[in-house]
Amino acid sequence: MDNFIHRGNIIIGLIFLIFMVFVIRLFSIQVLSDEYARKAESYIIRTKSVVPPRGNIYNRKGEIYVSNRPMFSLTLTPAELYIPPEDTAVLLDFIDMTWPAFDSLLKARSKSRAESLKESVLLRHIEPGEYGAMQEKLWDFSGLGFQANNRRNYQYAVGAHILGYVSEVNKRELRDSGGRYEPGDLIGKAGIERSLDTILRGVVGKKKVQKDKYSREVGEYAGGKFDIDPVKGDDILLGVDTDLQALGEELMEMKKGSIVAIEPRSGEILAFISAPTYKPDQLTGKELNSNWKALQKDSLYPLFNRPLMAEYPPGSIFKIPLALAALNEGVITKDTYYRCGGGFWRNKGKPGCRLHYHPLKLKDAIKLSCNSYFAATYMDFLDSPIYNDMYKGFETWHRYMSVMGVGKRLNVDMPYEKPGQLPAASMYDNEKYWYGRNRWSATTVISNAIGQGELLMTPLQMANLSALVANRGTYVSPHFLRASRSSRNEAWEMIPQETISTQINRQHFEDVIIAMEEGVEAGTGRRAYLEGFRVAGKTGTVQNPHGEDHSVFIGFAPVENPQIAIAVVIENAGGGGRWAAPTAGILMEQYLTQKVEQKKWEYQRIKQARFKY
Amino acid sequence: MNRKGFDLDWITIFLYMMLAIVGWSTVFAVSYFSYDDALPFLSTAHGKQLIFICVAMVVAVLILFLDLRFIEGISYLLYGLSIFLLLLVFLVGKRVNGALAWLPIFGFSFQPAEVAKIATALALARFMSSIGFSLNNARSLGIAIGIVILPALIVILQNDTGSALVFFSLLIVFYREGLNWLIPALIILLAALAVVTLWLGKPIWICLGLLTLAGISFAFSFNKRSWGRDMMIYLIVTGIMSGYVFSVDFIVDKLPTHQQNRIFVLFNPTIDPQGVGYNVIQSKIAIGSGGLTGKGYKQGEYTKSKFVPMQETDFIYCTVGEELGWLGSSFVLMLFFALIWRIKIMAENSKTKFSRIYGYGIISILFFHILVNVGMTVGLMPVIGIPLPFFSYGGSSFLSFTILIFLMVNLYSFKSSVLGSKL
Repeated sequence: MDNFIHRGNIIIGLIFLIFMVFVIRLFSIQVLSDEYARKAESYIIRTKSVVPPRGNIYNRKGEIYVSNRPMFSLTLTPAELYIPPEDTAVLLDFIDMTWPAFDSLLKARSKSRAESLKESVLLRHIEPGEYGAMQEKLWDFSGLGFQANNRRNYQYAVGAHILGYVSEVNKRELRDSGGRYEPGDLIGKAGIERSLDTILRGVVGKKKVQKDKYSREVGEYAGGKFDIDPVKGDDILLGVDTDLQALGEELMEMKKGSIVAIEPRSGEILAFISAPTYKPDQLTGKELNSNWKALQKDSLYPLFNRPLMAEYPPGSIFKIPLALAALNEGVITKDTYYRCGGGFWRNKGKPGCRLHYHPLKLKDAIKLSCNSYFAATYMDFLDSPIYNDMYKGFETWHRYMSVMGVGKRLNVDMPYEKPGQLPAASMYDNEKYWYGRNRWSATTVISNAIGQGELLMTPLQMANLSALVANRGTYVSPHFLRASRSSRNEAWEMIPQETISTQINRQHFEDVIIAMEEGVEAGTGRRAYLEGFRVAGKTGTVQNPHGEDHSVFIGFAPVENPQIAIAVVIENAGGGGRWAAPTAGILMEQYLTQKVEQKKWEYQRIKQARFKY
Repeated sequence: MNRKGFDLDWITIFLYMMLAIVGWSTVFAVSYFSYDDALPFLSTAHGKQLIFICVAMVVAVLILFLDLRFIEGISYLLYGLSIFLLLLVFLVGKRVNGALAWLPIFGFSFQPAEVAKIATALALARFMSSIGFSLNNARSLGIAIGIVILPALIVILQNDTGSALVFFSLLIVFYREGLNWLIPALIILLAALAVVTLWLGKPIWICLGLLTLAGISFAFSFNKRSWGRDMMIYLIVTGIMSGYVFSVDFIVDKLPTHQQNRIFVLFNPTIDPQGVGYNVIQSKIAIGSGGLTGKGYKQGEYTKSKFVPMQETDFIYCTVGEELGWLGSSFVLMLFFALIWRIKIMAENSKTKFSRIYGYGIISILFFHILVNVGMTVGLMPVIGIPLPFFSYGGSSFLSFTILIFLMVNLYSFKSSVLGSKL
């Protein structure tokens, strides 16, 4: 009766076919393609960075030097903003804006619906006290919120140039970081905050927040299962003695110059003063930008890191490495005599010298800082029959100086270190700017003998030179970081350091040090003398074509077991013996005895001194 | 009643229960939020849906008490009533989502189109099973088509295109009952041509393609004696098809923009990412993010966050896709297929022509809903707002599918009854 019974099967077959098409389609969009899953995630999840507090910084004594303190930011979500009409003034007062300014900001941040739903920072750097008051007043506003963050807190308001400062990462740093930083992250901008940023910053946490289709946050995603907890930055222990640092900064008030003090045995930097300076908390919080601009514009360049970046001719302190090189090469012995007579007689009296007894030997030449003696030494070095070739002599000298850390970066753990300048033969051979091949001789470059001429050293290099002499021929690259520890771990992990040897005979150092000690006892460095301690030192008076001479001193104490090696450069102050030597003496006393007693008078005198810039 | 008892088709009832449970669970997954716990249960979507399901099941049990002859007897009456209700909508109807298709009663709204589906299936079954009906008789065929077309036209006037199209799915019934296969084949061909035209958007190229096909076909079937007549036929057919292609292009051009968009979005959802395309894009993302096994029941944060519009109703299949993954969504499709298959078996085993035709009526309606709804969510069908049976939130839809299915279960229970047989 029914001829079409097979059609039922055709119908069901076609229906099955269509269901299979759906199943295959589902398979292709659900299993084969991950495009949709990725899109879904990007639409519903907002990943927020949770910036952990930076690691604390400890001083030499193990006391907290820099820590953090809580701060708040006021945020604005334009789409949700509601201001009770009578309270508009309250808000404007808090954010210190006029209504038109606020209104235009509001318009700028709500160009599109999606944008107006985004939370953005309205006011940064709100102190906890202000925050409390604000919170109380703004309770019936909506669309305003607070974010907690941290700022640096300085227990000792010294060492701004050591510490540097922290600020939001800029576009260039973002680009160069290769994805390690994200917009809004904090980064060290100078000093050890910059160089040790990777240790101090910790691990930025990730919090996944679920958003709804209007991009509003509705709660944590998947119960926080995929969140990454932030890890507080590692603490660091510095070699800096904050008391010494504070005293050094006090002495250098109203002066231009640098002081670098190093513990010779370890290479740890005890004090690192760049004058003029600023207070480290000037570059934190609300005032960071305005203060930075003001400091940047200051004609005395307080942001300039002199110990690392200012390159001075070393002056007479450079006689020490020359003496050591000449002794080690056998060009002179400690008993070699040279004439003086108020000038270097072999070169028409240049360089000149003061009147003193002569002929004299090395010990007296160092003690009295005789220019003629070292000019003769230098000349004999370069023209020595040992080499039979001035170039060879010059290169030998160059090698010695380089080994002693002149003209090269010491790789201190701080950015922007300058290498100074140690002239090479190739430089003088340059016809265009200098003399040309075989067209110069020892007399041409005789100024190098007394640390003038083409030589440039940074205060850090001078301090290192001092430490090297104190150690009798070895040094550890100067550094700030002694140890670090993770925020969970109680024990400090010391940073191993490498000792570099100059390969110069130890006996020559002893000879030079005796002379330096006499220089402090009865020579140019008298004002660095400390009763009860054997102090060795060498002054330098650096000729300055632009004004008064720079006053320079390097030294260390005690001679038999050096605890502190120091370099002081005071610009435009005049003789090294008058200003730099007593400054070093005060600081050495402070470091060795923890007080300033003997040098009280010098302390008053130097503190009050002003120099023309 | 005793005579029925265990003659009920328990497989169908089991499949129906499964779909009801999975369907309600899905509504629950969409509408339940823990922070809503304070709300009275019955004010939530899942709470209301549970009431609808309970009511529907009571109605289902009541249907099982009806007699075959009573059901057959009231078919025309019910049909007339549903036409009346459809017309009543024009007077006192309520507009929801642009369609004037809802009647408010007792504080609820219901869609007369849902009643009309049942009534039309019954009336068509009764008419086509009547003595003297023949598909080869133009008058019979005309009346049968009229039974289907009348409610469809009214529903179209109510701007409820989706529901109207459901009636046309009853073409399957005609095919099963012996309509010349060329007619559905032609309809499918024309539909395919329309799709290709809209997809490519270059009617002239399609016409050239058709002409080439005709040329190849003509060359292969070249017959010396009748080549002239053959060529005429080929040319006429190609001409008609080309005319059709151009008219599709022309008509679509004249459609209101929102309907045009619904069609074009199918081929390229990005043309209107904030409008109709938004639904398709979001729906595909929601389903696609489910992966193989899904994110877990009630863990579908994408659908939970209401990125997909009409999440509880037309696009509920997204939640299945996101939370249960490919395995779950395929399982749901297989449940639907099993139900359709079971109804087909019941229809074919029916002792009466009436129940067989009615069975195919259900298959047509059920299949069309699934085809369009699932097809829409996975981006294979234009966005047409019709619910997914047993899943989409809404009382009239659930109730009408329950009635459709249980009428069939009832009719089938008479298969072993001598008295019930009309043969």
